[in-house]
This record gives sequence, structure tokens and C-alpha cells, in this order.
Amino acid sequence: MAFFSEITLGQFILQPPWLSALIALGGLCFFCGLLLGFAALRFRVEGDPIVEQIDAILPQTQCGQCGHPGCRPYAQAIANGESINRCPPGGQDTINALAHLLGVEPLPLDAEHGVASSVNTVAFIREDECIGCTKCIQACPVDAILGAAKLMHTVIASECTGCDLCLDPCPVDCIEMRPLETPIQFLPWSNPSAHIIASSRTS
Amino acid sequence: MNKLWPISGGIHPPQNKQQTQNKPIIRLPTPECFYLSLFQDRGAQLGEPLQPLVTTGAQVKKGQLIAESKNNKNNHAVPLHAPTSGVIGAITQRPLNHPSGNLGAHLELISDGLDQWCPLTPNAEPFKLEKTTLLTLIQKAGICGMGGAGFPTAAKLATPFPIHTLIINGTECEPYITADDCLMQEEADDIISGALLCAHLLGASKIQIAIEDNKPLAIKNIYKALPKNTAPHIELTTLPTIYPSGGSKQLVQILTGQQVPSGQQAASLGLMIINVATVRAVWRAVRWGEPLIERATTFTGNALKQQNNVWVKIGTPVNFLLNQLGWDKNNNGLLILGGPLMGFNLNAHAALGKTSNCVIAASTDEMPAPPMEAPCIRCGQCDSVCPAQLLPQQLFWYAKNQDFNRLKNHNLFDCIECGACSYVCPSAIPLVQYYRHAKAEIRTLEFKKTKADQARTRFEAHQTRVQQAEIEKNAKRQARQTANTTIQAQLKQAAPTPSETTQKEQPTQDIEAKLNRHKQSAQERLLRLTLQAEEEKIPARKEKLAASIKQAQLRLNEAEQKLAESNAHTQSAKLTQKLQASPHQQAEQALNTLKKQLTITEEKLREAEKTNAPSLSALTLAVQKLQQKIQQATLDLNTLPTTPTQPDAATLAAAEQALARLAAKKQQSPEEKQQALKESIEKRIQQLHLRISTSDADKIPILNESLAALEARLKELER
Repeated sequence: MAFFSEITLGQFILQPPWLSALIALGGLCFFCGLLLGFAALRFRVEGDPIVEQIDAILPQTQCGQCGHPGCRPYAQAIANGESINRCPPGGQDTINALAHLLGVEPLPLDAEHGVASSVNTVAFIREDECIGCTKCIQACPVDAILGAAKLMHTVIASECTGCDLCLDPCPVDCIEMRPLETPIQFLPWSNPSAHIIASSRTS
Repeated sequence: MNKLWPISGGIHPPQNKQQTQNKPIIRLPTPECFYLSLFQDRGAQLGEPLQPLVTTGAQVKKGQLIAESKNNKNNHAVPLHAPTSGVIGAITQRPLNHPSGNLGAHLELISDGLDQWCPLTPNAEPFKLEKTTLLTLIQKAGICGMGGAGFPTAAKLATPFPIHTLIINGTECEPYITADDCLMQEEADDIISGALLCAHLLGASKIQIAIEDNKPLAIKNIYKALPKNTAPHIELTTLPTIYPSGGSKQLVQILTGQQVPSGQQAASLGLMIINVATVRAVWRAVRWGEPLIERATTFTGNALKQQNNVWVKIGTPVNFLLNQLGWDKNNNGLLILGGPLMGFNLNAHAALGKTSNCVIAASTDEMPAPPMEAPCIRCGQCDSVCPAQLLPQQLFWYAKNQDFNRLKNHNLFDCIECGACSYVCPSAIPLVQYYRHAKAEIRTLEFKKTKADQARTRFEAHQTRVQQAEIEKNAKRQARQTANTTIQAQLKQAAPTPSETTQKEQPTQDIEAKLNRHKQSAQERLLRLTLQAEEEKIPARKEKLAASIKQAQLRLNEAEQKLAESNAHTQSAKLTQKLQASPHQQAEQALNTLKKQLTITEEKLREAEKTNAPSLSALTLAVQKLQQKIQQATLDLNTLPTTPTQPDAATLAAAEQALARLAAKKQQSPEEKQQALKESIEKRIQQLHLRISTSDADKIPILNESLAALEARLKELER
């Protein structure tokens, strides 16, 4: 009894080495656990980041040729393992970018979903034929058609993605797709091989 | 003498300025047709096209405003003025004076040869004008940077940064070009006045005029023109000749030792650099009201007999001027707009613009076709001459690979496209061309990305709106339903009996009509759907339609069943009523039936009389009989009791059986019905045969008639 009465509580804890090790490790675990818990709450990521990245690559025409009602649903489907070659408006460039992002082999475009076109198109309403039924307005995924019931409609060309979803609902077939002229400032420049500035070094 | 700092990199190419350097700027006859590009001279980057303010056939005077930016708020676009008086022609597609060599819209101006100015408004005391007035005057005069970048001067002078030093750029470091040199020799006073005006506008305390030491006459003339003891301290700095000292960032480094941070302008350091030709144009615009329609351009190169600086009206086609200077087309190797290092191949049909400072028509010896591009050997010479301290061979690598992300990370957009790397490359790689191409591609991609982002935002907004509408619709439906149930509950509470009785006492006729309506609409729907399904081509929709058809069929069946039930119900009710009726009532009903029969028979008789049918005699007989019967019934009616009779079980059972038979008959298919009809007709024919054999002779003709009619009907049925 004399032995116990002579040592303090602190000394008792330190006396058996396994007990002090247990307390130290336990404390460390508790602290790390708190840290992890805090991080999980503080740096929580809303939504699936990969879907965002895929969506950023897709051309956003919202045409539905992939079989999904818009680009974001297709991005979601790709994240869930669907094939990456179902986007005709994006073409091979989009497929390659998706393959690069997801670390898979780039595939050729699935012809079942349409063919890639090099020309951008824009919907055009032949206004004197339009009867003002508003069906195309309801079909437009990006609200690029302007008009009211029994009044002529028109397409806001700068907002039209060329998805041609408005063609089908038109009862009088007054909508057509017209090729979109690339603004001259965005026309591709000739590749260097042809036009070369000679320098004056020879003179 | 000011302290000067060195720049990193830089080259010393042969100057080739002596051909044009110390000659006066000449004037050449003006062409008949001017072609004014509707695109801004913005260096490599083309802006939005301008909106013409004149129509075809309009008479314009020299200096008249003819096109301006569509967007009024966009002060990054400068307006366009007529370079001479004449008539506006068409808008034509011509090659642009742009590295891409693309076609662009040009406004055609047919000169009348009079060269009449429109009324101008000079300002005698420009230094007393308001700052905003000055900026408006400069903007309206269509002045942009004439050194090459073509940035609108008014937008540049309206900088939000405080400017302490204005640097007037007279370095003109690129070989061959002497336009600014000659301008400084001839128009030193205008340049100094313009510099003072710009400094006044900016509130700068110091003006530094920087000229390279290979322009002794220009230095002399500017020095002579320098005013003594002016409010902003104005001084002349002579720089050692090195290419590219004239780049704004390089000039800042040489004069101040400071580096302009990446992605920023010199203005962020309190410095502003303006070209000598630009300050002269500012002075002429503010003092004399002249818009920018003319500039000095160097015409040089050994393919020209006469090499000189020329006053060029904007919109003049290049070949028109070249031909006047004795252009030897057969000996022309390259036609370049700009200097030999930064310029680009020019189409001879292109028209000159506000930034066109030099045209080189080089002979084949002078600038032979460049040698074939060889592979990069990583010698690092480009690296050591790059004034922007970039890694040209790395950029080349990524540009060839179209690796745009890495290009951006390697600061491609800090490249000033000076061409020093291409000049020193031992493999003759046109590095700058690769960078320009990559820059254009990146700009295009970014444009597409902005479009995609815009579409995404709009799509998401659309989705949200549609969902919101759906939610609202559902909420409304819910609200309507609850309102309905509460109202009904209230009604029930308030008057429970009447509502029930009305429910019960609804006349059978109404119910029948309603059921009939239901049946009819179901039939119509079925018909419509069937027609639609036949026309439909899309399989998915066809399936949907098929499902709808099935549903419609079910509904129709249901309606028919209900109707049949209702019919059966009413018939049994009628029968019971009949059975329970008093003898008096029964007699009355019998009388009514007889009367009805009589009217029908009389009708038939009349018809028979008209057509003189063989059944006439039989019908006359029948009418007489019926009249007798009616008389008898009327007599009997009064004697009958009015108490209701209790029908016995046998009668009721028989009635029920009859009804069941009726119902069964109703449910028969058309074929079965026909069959039953046939059988009954056959039966009747047999009976008739029996009757003919047993009856009196006088009745036989009538019976024979009936027999013939029945047989005819039977034949018809069999067919």
C-alpha cells in the first residue's frame, strides 16, 4: 500500500509504457478523425465533378441526337458508362476530348446517331408562311424562337444552336436549316506551310 | 542624356532604310475607285464589320462620315470617312489587307476627281477644350494607332490608370520602313503639338520622344521643333538601334527598366506609348477638324523603279500605286504589307488602310522563296533572341501538336509576333506563322466555348422554366380538387336529402341519352385513332397509338355494356309496370296501341293507293278491322275496374324469360342475328303454307301475296 500512496496519477499513467502508448495513439486517432470529419463537411463537393467536366466538352446544341434530352443528361449517361461516340454535332474532336478526359480509346462516331457536319447551321423561319402556331417555340431547347400565338415567329440566329428540333413540329414546314456563315474574324488562317515571310537576311 | 536599359534578346537585321529614308513624301494621282474595308484595322484580330451610313449612289464629300460601328457603346471601333469626294458604289467582297488573306466586305467609292472637303470645324485653341470633348473629337475623327496595332486612340486615351509619362514612339525599328522617319522630318511641329495635346488630355507631367539613332535627320528636326520651357517637361531620347525596340513593352523596358506584367498594358505602370503618326493625326483632327483619311506609307523593294514614301488615301488599291512607281511584276518575289519581319503576304488587289505603314515589293533576288522548313534541332537560338523571354521552340512544338492548353500555359499570348525567332532559325521554320495560326485557333475555340456556355445557360433556364410551369400546374390541379371536395362536403352537409333524391330521380331517358353519347364519342375516338395509326410511320408512336386504340376499344365495350344494362333495366321496369297495371289501364294502353296501329296502317293504305299496290285490298280490310276493334275497346274501357292487378308468379317468370331472350338477342353478333331472322322467316313461310291450305278461298290471294313478300325477303337475306 505504501507503494501506491507514494505515486501521483500522472506518474501512474507514465509508469506502464503500453498504457501511455495507448493513450497517445488513441488521442492521435481521435484528433485525426475530427480533422477528417471537419474536412468532409467543409470541402464537400456538390454533384458529380466528372459530369461537369464532360458537360463542358459537349457542344451544347441540346439536339438530342444522342438519345438523351440534352447535353447534360448525356454527360450524366457517359459518367454512368455510356458510349462516348454518340454526339454528331461535336464530331470527332469532341470524341477525342472525351476519350482524353476519361482515359478510354477514342472511337469513330456512331453513324446510328447521325453524321457530323462541317457546316454549322441555323434554323430559319420563312416568315410569310408561318401561321403562328407556337409549336416550334415549345420545341426549342434554348428559347431561341421569338413569337406569339397567331403571330409570325422568328429565330434569334445568334442563340440558335442548329439542333433542328423545331423542324418536325412545324405543321406548315416553313422552317429550314441554313448554313451559318462563320464570322470573318473566326475564319481559320492558312496553315504555315504555304505563306511564309521571307526575312531580309539574304540581302 | 537619359539612362537606358537593355532588352533581353533582340536582333540586328540589315536596315535597308536608305532607299527611302531622306526623300520627301510624295503625292501620287488618286485612283478612280477606292475600296474602304468595313473591317477595323486591328492588327491580327479583325473586329465586327462597320455599318455603312450611306447607300449606293449617295454623293459624299471628302472627310464625310460613311460608316460606323453598329454598337454605339463600343468605343473600340473607329468610324470610317470618305477619303475623297465622289459617289458610293456597291459593297463588294475583296481581299482584306489582313494576314488571313480572306475576302471581306468593302465599300466602293467612285471618285469625282474634285477632291472637295466637307465642311470642317477647326478649333483655334485646342488646349482649352474639355477632356471629354477632346476624346469625342478624336473618336469621331476615326483615329486608331497607326504603328500597326490599330487600337482606337480615343479608347486608349480614356484609360482609367493615372499616366505620368507619355512616350511618343518614333523608333520605327523594323527594316525597310521609313514612313515615321520621313513624317518626323516633315511634320515635326504637328507631332510636337499633338504630343502636347495628348499629354494635356492625360494629365501627364512628362513627354519622352524616343527615336532610334539610325534616323539623324528626324532627330535633328524634332530637336529643332522642341518647345522650350513648356508645362509638361518634353525631352528627346535617342536609342541604340536594335530590333524590336519599338514594341511598346520593349520600349518601356529600354526607357524605364520596368517590365510590363504579363497580360497587362504599359498604362498600368503609369506610362502611355503613342506612335508619332497617331499624335500628328490627333493634332490635325482637333486643330483642323480633319478626320483620318490619309497616311504616309513607305513603298520600297527592288521590284519598284521609284522607292519612296507616299501620302496614301485609305482605300487605295495597292496595285494602283505600285504601277505608278514602276512595279516590275515579273521580277517581284514577294509583296509584303508591313515590315519584312512582322508583315504578311499581301494580295495586290487589296486596299490600304489606316495601319498600312509599308509595302515591300521585293525582287526575286532580294527576297527569294524561303527554303524548305527543316526539323527543329533545338539549337536554342530563338530562345536567346526572344524579346518577350518566351520559349519559342517549345511553343512551336505545342503549336504543331495543336496542344492549345500547353500553349496558353507557356504564355503564347505574350508573344508580340516580332519574328526575331523566325529570323535566326537555322532550320528556316516560320515560327511566327505557327504562333499566329495557333492564336487564331484558340480565339476560334474560345468563341465556340462562349457560344456553348451561352447555350447551356439558356437550356438550363428553359428546363427550370418548364419544370416550374409543371409544378404550378400540379399545384393548381391539387387546389381545384380540394376546393371541389370541400364544396361537395359542404353541400352534402347543408342539404343531404335533396341532392340524393335528385340523383335517384334522374329520368331514365336522360341516363340513356348520356350513355348513348358516351358510346358515340368512344366510337368516334376509336375511328380517329385507327385512322391515325394507319398513317403513322414512327414505330414508337405506332405502339403508343395501338395502346390507345386498345383502351378506346375497352371504353367502347364498357359503354355498350352499360347501355345494354340500362336498356334491360328500363324494359324490365316497363314490363313490371305493365303487369301491375289495373285492367282499366291495360285496356287504355291496348287502345292506345290500337290507335297507333291504325294510324300506321292508314299511312300504308294511302301509300298503297298512290302506287296502286296489290296489297291495297288487304290494307283496306285491316283498317276496317282496326276501326272496329278500337270502337269495341272504347266501349269496354268504361266497364273495367281501376284497381291494380297482382300478377301471378308464372306471368312474371314468363316476362323475365322474354326479357332474357331479348337481352340474348341483343348480344348476338350480326351473323347470328341474320341467321335468327332467316329462321323466323322460314318458320313464318311454313305457317303461311299451312294457313293457305286450310283457309277460305277469298283469303288465299292475300296470303299468297304475303308469302311472295316473305320469300323475296328470304332470298335477299340469303344473298
